[in-house]
Amino acid sequence: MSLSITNSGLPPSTTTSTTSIDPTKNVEPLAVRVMRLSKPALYQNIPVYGEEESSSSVDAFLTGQSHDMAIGDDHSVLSHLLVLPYSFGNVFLGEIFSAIVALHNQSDQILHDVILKTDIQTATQRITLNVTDQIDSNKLELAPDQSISRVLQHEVKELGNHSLVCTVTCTDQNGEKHNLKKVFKLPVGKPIDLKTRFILGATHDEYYIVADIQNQTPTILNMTTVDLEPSLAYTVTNMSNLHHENSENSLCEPWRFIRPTETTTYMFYLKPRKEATFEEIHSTPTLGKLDIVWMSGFGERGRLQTNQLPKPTPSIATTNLGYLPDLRIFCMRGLGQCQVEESQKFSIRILNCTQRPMDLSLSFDNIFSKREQFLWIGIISKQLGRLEAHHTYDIDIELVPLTCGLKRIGGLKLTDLSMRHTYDFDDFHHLFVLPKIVH
Amino acid sequence: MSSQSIWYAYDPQWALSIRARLNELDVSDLWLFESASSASMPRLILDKYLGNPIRQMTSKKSTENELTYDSLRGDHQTLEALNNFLRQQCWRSAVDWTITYLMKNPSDYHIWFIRFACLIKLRLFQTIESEFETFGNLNSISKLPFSLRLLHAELPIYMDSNHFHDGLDRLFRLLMITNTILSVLPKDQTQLWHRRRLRILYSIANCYILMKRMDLIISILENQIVKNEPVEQQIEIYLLIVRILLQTGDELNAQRAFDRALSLLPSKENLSDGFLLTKELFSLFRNDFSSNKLLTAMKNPIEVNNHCVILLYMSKMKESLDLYEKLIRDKATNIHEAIIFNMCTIYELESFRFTQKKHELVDYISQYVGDGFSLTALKLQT
Repeated sequence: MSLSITNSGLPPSTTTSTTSIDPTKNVEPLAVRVMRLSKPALYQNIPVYGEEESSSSVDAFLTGQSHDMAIGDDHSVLSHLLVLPYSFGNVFLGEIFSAIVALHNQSDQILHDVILKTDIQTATQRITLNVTDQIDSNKLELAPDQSISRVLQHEVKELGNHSLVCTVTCTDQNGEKHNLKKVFKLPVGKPIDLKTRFILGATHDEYYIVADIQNQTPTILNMTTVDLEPSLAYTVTNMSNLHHENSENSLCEPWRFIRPTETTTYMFYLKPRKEATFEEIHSTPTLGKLDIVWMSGFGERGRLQTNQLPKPTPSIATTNLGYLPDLRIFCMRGLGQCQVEESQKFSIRILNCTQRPMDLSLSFDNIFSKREQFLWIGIISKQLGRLEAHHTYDIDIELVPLTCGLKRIGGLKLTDLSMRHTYDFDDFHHLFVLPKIVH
Repeated sequence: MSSQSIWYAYDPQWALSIRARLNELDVSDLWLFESASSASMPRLILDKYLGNPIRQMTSKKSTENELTYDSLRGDHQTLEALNNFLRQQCWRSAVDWTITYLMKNPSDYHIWFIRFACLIKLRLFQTIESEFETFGNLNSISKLPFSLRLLHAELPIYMDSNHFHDGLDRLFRLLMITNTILSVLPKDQTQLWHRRRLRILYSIANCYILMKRMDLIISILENQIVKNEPVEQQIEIYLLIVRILLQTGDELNAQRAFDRALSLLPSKENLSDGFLLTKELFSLFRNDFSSNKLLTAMKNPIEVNNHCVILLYMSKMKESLDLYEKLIRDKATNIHEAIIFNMCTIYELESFRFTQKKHELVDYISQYVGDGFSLTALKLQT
């Protein structure tokens, strides 16, 4: 929070419950005042440059300026002097609301058994605040005109109306008990505006999650953590920082800061764990949740976690699980590059996504292979046998590329003999075929 | 064009015209001259006396040796009187003095500089801008003090957040002309202009600080300024970087900057005030409040102020206020706007009698502060 002392008409940092100004007319013996204790800021000044050799007046001016303790040798606007918060400010979700409550005995008697209770009242609950100072004993005595104070902290975990409720009881010298309750409204706002969107990956189980975070506070935020905690079946790669030069010597990572009203975009790549089973991958309807932590001036900390982000439902509607094809094939082993007329072996995994067993037989689409200019060799048609629901088996196939270039490898046909349905598969792989080197 | 070259860019055409006048002028008066399209005589816009508002607020009677400009007193019209006002930070009196003088001598640019320097301290930015406009094109005036050109360039960055780019435009133009002058000067005559060039870079850094452009601040401080300064100054700059980073919530890099400053010290014993003050800021960041400070050990008023602020965060309101009252009574030079502002804030928290306490405070400080003191520090509702 940068600060220079100007008259900008902002509401004062202290809110007071007493409205009367004439001290002799106060009915209540105790006054309660609350001041927001957001972290202080450094005083800003205006360092003026002059050359003392140019005139005696410039020399005199510089002498005068040098008596200003805020002006240092670094010619900078930022001094070493701390200044208390200028205004009450907003209270943001995820941050820690900190305040100091002062009790002042404004009567002319000694007050006994002074007890202060402080609670936060939200729309849904009432939370008693623990005190952070050393006043343990609840039975306090206040002389006339004496004040005591107490610092409170509360982590704001919900939106909506919040109030700070201060209840004070005391006994005066006549033995009369006094009761005072003051309510201070706390304006709670959203510190960031978060928009998430999903981009489907190249294969069905991969996702890109894009999160746009807009800073809606009046101070610059240092986003120390923006992480996606994936649900159990997935692993995550944080793609947000890949392009930043991470110079060892640099003293600043400017991409971490978001200035007020600015938006920064973060991206995460999710794919299933290698060991995850079919059930694990497909039964969880969620992808994970975002964990966001930030710091602002002098250690003001904030933290938000989103709910679990739901898996986006894709538009392809097929049988069974609603978004998966009945059969999926994966290339498990095989080169991506070879020489022309050099035979290539591939190992293919077949996954039965349906809930019923299949009886599969393999054949090839000759139009596909002719177009791509390769030949399947070895056993080119065979019965593969029974494949249970949600299970896989691997098969080996072999081909010879006839010409050079980048070739799509595909054109498999799997026939489910029990349902008499043939599935056609496009490319499952690409092969870059180089010319043979003649020695 | 690499990003390095904007710092060293100069115009060869300008160099020719500057070189042509090398023998006519003192080194310090060199500049790029553009002929004026029409003659312009600087004139005052603000011609009413500012007076001494703090004096008007206090109930104490004015004393003889009080320092406020009086246009009727003969001994207040001398240069020595002006210099006296300036040394005591009586910026308002100095401004009032310049009104009388500049009406008779409107082309004394050294006094214009004094006037604007005081006005900028009083934050009367629009007045300065309007009066600068009466000068016409600054580049058509020969022998304009460099400090006046720099003040003109810096002015927009202090006005408000809408004018940062105007400030940067003016500052980079100043930089380019300075680079051009450096390119024509013989090597043994460049010292003054190197100093001026560096000061322009500090002004640009200040603009970046006010804009909160984290990407640009550290880069200019580390890459453009530090390497041109001696070690003691480098330490100051690294401590500045620490403050900037702590104020924007980056403790990790602030610690690295602090370590870098430490590594420049010949010995780690007897750390300077700057280091000790900065260490306190880390404690504030980490909420690590220890009350083991020996109050007598603190001589530096900044240290006392910061400690009083921290006392409030430890709920020690009374101790904080007592220490503040003692601080401002200890030495007149301890009275500073920030300190008074903090005291008034705590007064408002402590009791309903804060208005009375503020008036007592005004009565006390009015005896010691120059009329440059800003009343907004007192947070009085008008």
